[in-house]
Amino acid sequence: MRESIKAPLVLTVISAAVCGMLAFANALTADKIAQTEQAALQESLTQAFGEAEYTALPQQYEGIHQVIRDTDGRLIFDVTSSGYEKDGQHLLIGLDAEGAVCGICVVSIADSPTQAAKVQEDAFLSQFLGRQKATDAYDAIAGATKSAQGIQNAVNLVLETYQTNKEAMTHG
Amino acid sequence: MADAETSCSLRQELCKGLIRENPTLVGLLGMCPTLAVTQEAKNALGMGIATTLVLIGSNVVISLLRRVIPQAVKLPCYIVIIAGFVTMVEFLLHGFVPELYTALGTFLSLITVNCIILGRAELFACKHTVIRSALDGAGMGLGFTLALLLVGSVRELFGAGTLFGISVMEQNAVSVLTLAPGGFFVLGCVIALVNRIAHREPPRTAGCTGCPNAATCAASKGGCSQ
Amino acid sequence: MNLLYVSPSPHTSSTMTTSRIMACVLVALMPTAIAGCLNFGLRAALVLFVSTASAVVYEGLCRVLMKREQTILDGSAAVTGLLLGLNLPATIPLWQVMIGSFTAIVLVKQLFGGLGQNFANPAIVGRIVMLISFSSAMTTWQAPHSDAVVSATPLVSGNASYWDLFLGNTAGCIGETCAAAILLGGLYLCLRGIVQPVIPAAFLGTAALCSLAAGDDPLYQLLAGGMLLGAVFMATDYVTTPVTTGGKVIFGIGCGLLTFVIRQYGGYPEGVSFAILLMNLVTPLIDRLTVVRPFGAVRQKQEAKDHA
Repeated sequence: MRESIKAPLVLTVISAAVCGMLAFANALTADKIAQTEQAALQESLTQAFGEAEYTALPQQYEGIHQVIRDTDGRLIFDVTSSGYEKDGQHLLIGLDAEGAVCGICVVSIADSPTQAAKVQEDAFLSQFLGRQKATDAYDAIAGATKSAQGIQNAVNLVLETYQTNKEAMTHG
Repeated sequence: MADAETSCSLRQELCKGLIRENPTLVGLLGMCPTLAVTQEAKNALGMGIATTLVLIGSNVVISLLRRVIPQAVKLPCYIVIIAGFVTMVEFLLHGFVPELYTALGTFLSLITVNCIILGRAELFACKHTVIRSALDGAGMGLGFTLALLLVGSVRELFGAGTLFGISVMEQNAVSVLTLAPGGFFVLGCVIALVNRIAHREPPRTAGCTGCPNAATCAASKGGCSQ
Repeated sequence: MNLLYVSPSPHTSSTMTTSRIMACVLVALMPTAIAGCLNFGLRAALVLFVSTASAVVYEGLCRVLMKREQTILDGSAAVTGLLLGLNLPATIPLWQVMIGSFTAIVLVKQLFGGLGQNFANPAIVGRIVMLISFSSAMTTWQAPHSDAVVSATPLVSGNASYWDLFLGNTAGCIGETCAAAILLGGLYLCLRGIVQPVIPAAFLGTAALCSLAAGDDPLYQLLAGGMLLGAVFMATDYVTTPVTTGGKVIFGIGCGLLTFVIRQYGGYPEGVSFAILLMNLVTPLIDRLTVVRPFGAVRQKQEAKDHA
């Protein structure tokens, strides 16, 4: 076989074979992966907001992964915010039936351990509870300013999105 | 391509990657994951095992195909094979060990371009039999895991006060070690230490016959140690 | 020891040796050290002692292990140790001080070849590593003349009087509070010719101008925080600052600008150490840019034009 045909041919065959194997592996594991993700989300929700029936709303809003509604009428927003690292903070922010912040759960945070610990303290997070309007003023933490700003931005985004889409979210 | 001659026993193929030719600490390959995932010892261990699996797999396949792959497309073929194995490992981790998957993040995909894997494929697997390649892959992978574990344990223990998550001395941690600068400090010290141990060879003494400086060298009276 | 030197011209001799220079610097640091101990008590004295002694011990051990000639008698380790100690709060645990001086002497100085080979000011790097490692211990200070502990220096709280800042009646690191003592030491160094006032002037001038432009009180910005200590003692280290006067001006301006930017827009309240470190790293470039043309040298392009 001519050298100039053999080379690309071999490459194509190998690539095709590898793709085939990957498709096979994907088919085997795709369900398991979806299951694991769902379980992880469910776990965070239960941990932060208690046992309840959670359903994800189909609408998509800018900057928010998904909105989940539970049987009590609470809306939980799955958001990713930028702290020290871009999109390093994965948060679940809950609004109660009146639209006031009722809980913030940090699912994962990519900032360094000291900063991550500081912004997860109750003393810091409790200042957001009960908020209904997006505001610029908040109490930052010295030494964890970026991480704190990330959480503040996330809360503001959630409150603004809620204000604009209140109808659709509560009755959709 | 004819297979390369080798005088190593099978056991030596496996063991050479552990200390003497440790890919990270002696060959200084794969530095990127070494610095990036060694903040916690269990992530380091996970990364090491994932890389070892990919290394063994790719070495075996490349060795099997060594007479089939033409020189011209050698590298693209190797990369495709390595990427395939990495993706399979990713699927497995995502489904069965999701904690490790999120902890390793991008660095799991970056195993594809880990110099160790491509290096062993290029230097060894394409010239040796399947068994030898598998052993070489296993040895190098274990050496890499050892290096990661060493650096990761020191960084986690002294930088965060925990080891594999068990709190040991959290009050007295030196947090710079979990950050980038500390990672370099620890890596430098570990490399220095391992090189000292691995290359502790007795000083060779040669006679003056055959030495070009013999006539003028002052030490020729007392013998020289070159 | 060699008594006969063979060397090219210029043949000059001077009585200034490294040990003499370091001794002058130690003398200049004495007012600051004493003021710190008077303000913060015996604990401050202990911290200074531990930092200086451990620095000297580390250097001695390093030279022995590396099989090189002993250099602890030239005083540079003692100066580094003392400077590091003056940059720390009086309440810092002593084992942390020892880690800091290890970083400064062993990692930054000895591993790179000893005196004259360090890439950055060892005391500065030691302080920065301690700040990152022990952030809570490094950000709690003792109030002067009492045992109370505070977590904000006058730079952050903004409510100390000029007189307090000048005499050191405020919370802060051991050596950075008493402006009078630092200025006294700086004056001594200038008069002895050890330090050219170029860098401190450029540093402080730029920082003052920047804070004026930003609407802050320039005098307050200069007196509060570690700027005076940094500008006088650490930004003037021979090894890590440019050689020519022009280079020194650039260095000083750069430090002042960076300090202002970090204080104003960065996450840390104090920017001096990072500013000095960054300028230390850039010093080789500054040296290359400010090469002095030898007398009589003609630029090569012009020569070609003349001959053409």
